[in-house]
Order: sequence, then C-alpha cells, then structure tokens
Amino acid sequence: MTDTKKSKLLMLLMTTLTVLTISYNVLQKYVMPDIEGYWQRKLYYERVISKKGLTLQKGMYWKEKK
Amino acid sequence: MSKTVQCELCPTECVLEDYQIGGCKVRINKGGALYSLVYGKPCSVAIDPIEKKPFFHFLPATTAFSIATVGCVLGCKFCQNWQISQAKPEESDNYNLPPADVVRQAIFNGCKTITYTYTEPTVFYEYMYDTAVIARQHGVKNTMHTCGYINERPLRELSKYMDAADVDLKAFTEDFYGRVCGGRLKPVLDALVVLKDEGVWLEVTNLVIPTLNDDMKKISEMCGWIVANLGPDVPIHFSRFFPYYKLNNLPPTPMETMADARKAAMDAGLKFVYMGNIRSEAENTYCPKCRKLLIERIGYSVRQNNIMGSACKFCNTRIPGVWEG
Repeated sequence: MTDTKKSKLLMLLMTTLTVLTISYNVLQKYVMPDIEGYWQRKLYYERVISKKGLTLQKGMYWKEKK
Repeated sequence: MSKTVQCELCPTECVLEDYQIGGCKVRINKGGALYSLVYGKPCSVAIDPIEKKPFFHFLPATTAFSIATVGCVLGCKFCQNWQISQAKPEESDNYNLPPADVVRQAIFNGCKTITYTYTEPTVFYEYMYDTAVIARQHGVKNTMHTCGYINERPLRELSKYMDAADVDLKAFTEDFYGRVCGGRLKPVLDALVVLKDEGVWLEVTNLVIPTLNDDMKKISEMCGWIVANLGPDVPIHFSRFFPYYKLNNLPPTPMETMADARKAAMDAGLKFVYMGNIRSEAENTYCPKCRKLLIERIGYSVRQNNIMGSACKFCNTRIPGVWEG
C-alpha cells in the first residue's frame, strides 16, 4: 500500500469517526431523551398505574398540540 | 403525527407528551388524548357539618357529603391536606364511588349538600361535574372548597350546577402565590369574579401566616378588592395558621394579628368577618343593622339561629346567604 493510499484511508477513517461522534452527541442530546422518556413513562403506566385498577375517563378541556 | 396535548383546565395549562402526567398528578396523555385517572375514585369520603367547609351563610346546621380525590393544581407549602393533595392516584387507597353512588349516599345519609373539598376539586373536574349534574336532578345542592385556580370556560360550565363556593384567597401578592404556592394570583381573582357573575354563593377564606401574608396593608387592600369586585356581603373567614408540612418552622398566628385582620376587613366595609381555628365570638353571625346575635356557633356546631326566612328575626333586615333549601 502506497503512502497516498494510507493517508486517504486514514482521512476516511477520521472523517467517519468524526461524523459518528457528532451524530452520537446529537442523538444523545435531542433524540434519545425523548425515546428514553417515552419508554420510561410507558413502562411506568403499564407496570404501576394500569395495575392499580384506575379507570381512564376522557378529560374535558384540553386540545391537541401541533 | 404529534401526540402532544395541552390541558386547558387550570391556568398552568400543562403541555403533555404521550404517557406524561400533568402537574396535578391525575391527568394523563395517553395516545394523544387526555384522561382523568381519578374519576369515581375518591380517596376521602366523609359527612361533615357544612360549617367545616367553611360555609357560614349556606344552610347552617346541615351536613355535607364530602369527597376528594388525590392531586392538586398548586403546591402550597402550608397545605393541611398534603398527604392526599400531593399524592399520586396509583399510590393512594381509593374508594370506588361513581357519581350516581355519591348522590345516592348523600341522600341516604340525609345530607342536603355534596361538597367537593379537602384537595382541589378542579383536578377531579369530570367527576365533580357529572356528580353535580345528577345531584341537581335530585335536589341535592353542590358546593366546593376551591383555591380558584381554574380557567374561565370550565368554571362557567361548572357554575351552572354549583350552588356555593368557598374560595381560598391565599394572599394578595403575586410574590406569595409564586414562592409559596407555585401559582399566580390573577387567575384566582378572575375566578372569584366569574363565580360572582354566575350567581354562585361565595365565601372567601384567607389563612393568615406569620411573616408571609400578615401585612395589614395588603390585607386591607385584599378586603378593599373584595368589596369593590364581589360586594360587601361576601363573608370572609380569616383562618389561624398552625405550623404544618413545609412551614413547620413558623409559629402559629398570634391572636393580635387575627384581630387586626378582622378589624382591617371590617374597616374596608365587609359586613361578615369571621375567624377560624379559634374559639371566639368571631365565629358568630351578627346582624349588620341591629347588631344582635343571629347565629351562635361553637366550632362547627350551631347553638342558636335567629334568621327567619332570610332575615334578621329582630329587625327584619335581609341577611345575604342561602338559608333554606
């Protein structure tokens, strides 16, 4: 393998690593808490609240938030 | 597709993601719709004298079938019922008591009134509303003890079935509401005006807490606002504070402060000023014209009642209130 090829491969690896690191940070900051929070809430509802025998009565005075 | 919803019941107007529960602890967004978790599930059920609510100008010496679920729209540091107001429905022991059964129990136990009380009834709005509709059909009156932290639209709808409300006006500064209760004063004042406007019989309660809301200038200002916006006939109950919950570092309200508050209210023009959590003549109702004793109370019991029809037995002056039902 020539030195040019080696440096190109190194560049490619560095770029890939940088992109992956940035993507991971973005995901961890903005996307993963949403997903993690959702699953935590859903599991809490299914494991604790729904087992309590509480009835779900449709609420009055609320709106969908776009 | 977004599954976020916004609750419009109280002025907090929580924005809730899927499976998220509101600040009141009892309303949940599930699949893009808002549900109450406490419908028909009261944690407290009791028969109380109506004077305990306190209502002093509403069917005296009768009993009120009183219900509450867990939860609250505020987080007052002095809450007397924090064990239930700050609890979650999944953590409490709840009765199974649908609206029709509440009314049936009230009638069976000879209660003239159903009172939504102990915690903030706004949090169990749907339960309260459905119960109130059935109660009205059966001639049972509806009353609530509320902090008044509710939006105008739901309050106006509820007022069609509500006969009386005792509103906790906790202080007369936004600072107090923000720091001590986690809410705002303005919506409470708005709610008081709406209740008056809707013809709901109104009484006001103010817990006087040493160092936090015992400034006589502010108390005078508050009473002046009541006279100007609700009228001088609205009874006001000054309650004595005792150390509790997160405010157990403060002393009980001095008797002199209570007396000063009462004097400030009378000077402001209020005709019926009471003191609660204290045994004194300030529990009694006096005729504003002839000054004779109309209703003598000791604690929650009525010793004598000299109101005939709706008027003073001695001088025939009309006494504001709901005396027959």
